[in-house]
Amino acid sequence: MTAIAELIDLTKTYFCLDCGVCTGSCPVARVFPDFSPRQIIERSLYELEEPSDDTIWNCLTCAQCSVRCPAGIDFPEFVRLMRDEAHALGFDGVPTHNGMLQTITDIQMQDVVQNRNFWIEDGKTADKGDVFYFVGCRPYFDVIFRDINAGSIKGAQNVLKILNCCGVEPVVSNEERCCGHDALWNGNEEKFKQLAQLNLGLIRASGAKQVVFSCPEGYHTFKNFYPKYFGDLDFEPIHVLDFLADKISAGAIEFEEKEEVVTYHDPCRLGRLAGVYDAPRKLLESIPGIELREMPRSRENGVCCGTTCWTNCSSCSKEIQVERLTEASNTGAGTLVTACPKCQIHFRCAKAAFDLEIEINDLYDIVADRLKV
Amino acid sequence: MFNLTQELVKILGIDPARLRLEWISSAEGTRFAEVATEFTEQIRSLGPSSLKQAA
Repeated sequence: MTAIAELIDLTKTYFCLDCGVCTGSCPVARVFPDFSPRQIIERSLYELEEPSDDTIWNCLTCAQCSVRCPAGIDFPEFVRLMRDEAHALGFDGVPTHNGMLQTITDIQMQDVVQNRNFWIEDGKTADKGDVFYFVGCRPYFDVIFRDINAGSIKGAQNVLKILNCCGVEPVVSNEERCCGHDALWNGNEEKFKQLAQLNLGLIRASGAKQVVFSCPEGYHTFKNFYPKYFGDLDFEPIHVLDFLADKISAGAIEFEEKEEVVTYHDPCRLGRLAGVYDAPRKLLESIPGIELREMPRSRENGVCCGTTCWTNCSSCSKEIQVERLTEASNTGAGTLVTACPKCQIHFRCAKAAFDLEIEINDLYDIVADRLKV
Repeated sequence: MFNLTQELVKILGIDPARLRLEWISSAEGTRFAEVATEFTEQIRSLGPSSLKQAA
């Protein structure tokens, strides 16, 4: 059996009805008419699709197609497995930023002692404890994307501030590594496994029972892919919004009233892939003075921020981003709120490049900015 | 950009003293030799990097 035939068996793409809903839904296909998930599936069924075919790297793996597929075909998973094959044969996507982000994760697999906790300042953390805050790549993003004013680290500082406000002093570690999300979706399973093992060892040593995430990619990867590769976890991966939900509704946090009209952009890893749609909206609506206006394409129809895994950022990405920011502006909101550090970087990049009016802000920045201390 | 790279290596746990940027014109052979010697000495005094295994 060929590798592609095995992959077809695994993802059951032979159930494809040829309806074309996937291609009709695909944000990339709207900009690049040559890119068609339906045709990729069909070509693969006739064994005409080759892992060397570079179109697979254009997929955003945003799952807009798979949530609508009447045959239940998981196209992003199909693409991920195709990329595994491609990578093994030496074919890769085009890394953005000259591969800097891939190099940074490569270095994290070596015997280095990082200084990633430089941002903590007056936040309260612990060396050991039940709750571990998995910060993710924000410390690196903050430096790399300073030119577009990405403000990545502010999000982590604010998550810690909110946790502290609720009486939680989490473990935050210099030894945390990249969760492996990007390696996994770039077909580099080996790299993913190495990073995951380092993180699992670290968390085990910390004795944490709950690992809190504010990054949707980290959350999705820990929750769905770590058990797939390493079996049941001896801790609970939990999204910070779920972690805080009870504490917030019990009144642990008080907000100052500040008028602002906002719209919420669903990150694909948090929304379609992890199913978290209501929690961020509930939180925004609970803040006095905030008016939340929905974009026409929201929740499971929310459009991707245009690029993923630091691979294949193109004119297509920019077109998707500008269209999305225009959609946000048209709601009358002055701020687009997102809950993913990468969405924030991608949108702030488009805002800087096209001189757009709308503000882009992190959900945790909005919350922390209004905390009554 | 160089300053940012220095910040990045620092976060990665690599001594920023292992990184240096100098602009030397092709007419400045002596200067090039000086900088190369000086930097080599500096790296030698820092000892092997923890990334030695990576190469």
